[in-house]
Amino acid sequence: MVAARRLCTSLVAAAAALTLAAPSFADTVSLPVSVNGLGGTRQFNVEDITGQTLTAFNLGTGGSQPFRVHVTDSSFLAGVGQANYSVSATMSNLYLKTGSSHDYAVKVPSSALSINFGGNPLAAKGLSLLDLPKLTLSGALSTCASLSPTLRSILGLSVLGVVLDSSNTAVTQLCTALGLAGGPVTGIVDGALQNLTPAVSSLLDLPTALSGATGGTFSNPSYGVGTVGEGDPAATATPATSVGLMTGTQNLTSGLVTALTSALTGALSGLPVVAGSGTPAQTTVTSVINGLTASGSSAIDSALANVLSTLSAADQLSLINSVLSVTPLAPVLADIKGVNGQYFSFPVLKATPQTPVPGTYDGTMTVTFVQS
Amino acid sequence: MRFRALISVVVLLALPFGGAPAARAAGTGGIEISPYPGVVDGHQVTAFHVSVPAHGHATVRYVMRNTTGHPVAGKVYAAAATRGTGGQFAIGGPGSAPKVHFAGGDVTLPANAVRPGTFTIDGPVDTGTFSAVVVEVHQGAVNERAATLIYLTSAHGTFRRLLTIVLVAVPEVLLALAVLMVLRRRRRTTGPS
Repeated sequence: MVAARRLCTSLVAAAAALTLAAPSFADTVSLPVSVNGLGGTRQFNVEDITGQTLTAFNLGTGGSQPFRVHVTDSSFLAGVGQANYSVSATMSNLYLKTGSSHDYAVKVPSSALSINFGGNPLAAKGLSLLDLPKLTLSGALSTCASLSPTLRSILGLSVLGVVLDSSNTAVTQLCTALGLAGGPVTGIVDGALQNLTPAVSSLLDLPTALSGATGGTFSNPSYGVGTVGEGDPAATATPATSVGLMTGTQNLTSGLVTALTSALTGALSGLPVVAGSGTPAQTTVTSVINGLTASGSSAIDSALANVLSTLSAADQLSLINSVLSVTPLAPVLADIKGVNGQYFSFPVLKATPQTPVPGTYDGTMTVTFVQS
Repeated sequence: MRFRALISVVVLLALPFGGAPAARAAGTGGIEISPYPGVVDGHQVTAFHVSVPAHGHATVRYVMRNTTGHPVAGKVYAAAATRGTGGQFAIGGPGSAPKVHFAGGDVTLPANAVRPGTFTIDGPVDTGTFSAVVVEVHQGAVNERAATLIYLTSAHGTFRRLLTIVLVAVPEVLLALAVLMVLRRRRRTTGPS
């Protein structure tokens, strides 16, 4: 008998219409507005396992149904300790559907429903970071007399390394700084913007580390506005049980730094230090000049920067690419100019009703995403 | 020297009274509500940080936008937000934050729409309390809610804390100056004649 009843009982959570007497934006007049500085976006959705919008759970006579929570970051700016979020769910009781309304006296309590997780409750994909790297600039210049013919030509030096144009004070100063021994060239420069796709092996090394797939039983029901339980005359003020689905914690772990460094090294590999407009390169002429004139620069660095400023674009590229090389520094948070990624939690809603009256039951699950 | 050290201590003590850390906006169903401006000094600031006078109200600018290329509809409202012992937030329903006057309700946004607006918060509020602006989209049996937190600070509370700092710091600085002067005087009187 019980089995028969269970077979006849279909627990279907269906739509709950909601109308509120509140001011509507539809009444306002829309004017073209241009707004700058909005930043990236973070959108959250509840979907079925194929990625379609989830509108109903069909739990049959007491089964389970998997679904997924999906958070999408687009051009999101990173910030450790600033962009944590949590996703949790509450559940109403399931009420016997009678026509277009419900019999609130006949219900499956929310405590008969729970959220569980499988072996891989959390995942991420489509991860990419826009990185403005810092690069270590290094190289060496010999004395003006022993520079290569190409460099002598660029700098306007004779075969013996004498400055041919005595009014060219920048080159004169460089040769003076190089003296009889030459010297190293060093600096820290801004690299060109790179779109990196790091290979992250741990959920905890994601730009938004994932955890919090705790699940649990919906011990206390929700009677919130917009839920089927809203109309329950037996509603109480007891807070609904909130079940954890996912937590995202903004971070930059050493594992992520390693993955980013590897991706950055790969992205820069094979690129010239500088290149003409529109051609990929590791950095720009302007960044090199700025890096060489930064505080703490040596006399050779400063003199080389002055010389570069006087050269033609082609000579700048030639000199820099022949003398200097760059090595990426380990990425830091300030280098990250945008994060794209999709984050998932894969809960399973399970119902274990105790001999309910045969019929179709409706309930509402509220999934709340909170930035904190 | 001692004066400098004392100033350093005072500054360090004052740091913990700074504002709550910034957070990010949240959206669902293609509707997103964020503070305006959303980027300050290169940082995306998308939670609301509002200092509310004890006797008066604060006006807060926001932008509501459709992040998709098709029309979207949902409900927006202000709600109470309470932080649990584990740090997680519980978000109330419509009407649960009576001090936050957010002209929400049902909203329909055309594709890629950007709609600036303001809402007000009445004082007094307790520093360290929260509210939220919620975007809610009904998808059949599932209600999706995305809450952007409002970090509340009492302007009165801020003034009181500043006053406390001043009342503590000023006597200490004066004491240090007095000690310094006494030491100098002693040096003069005990120095070589």
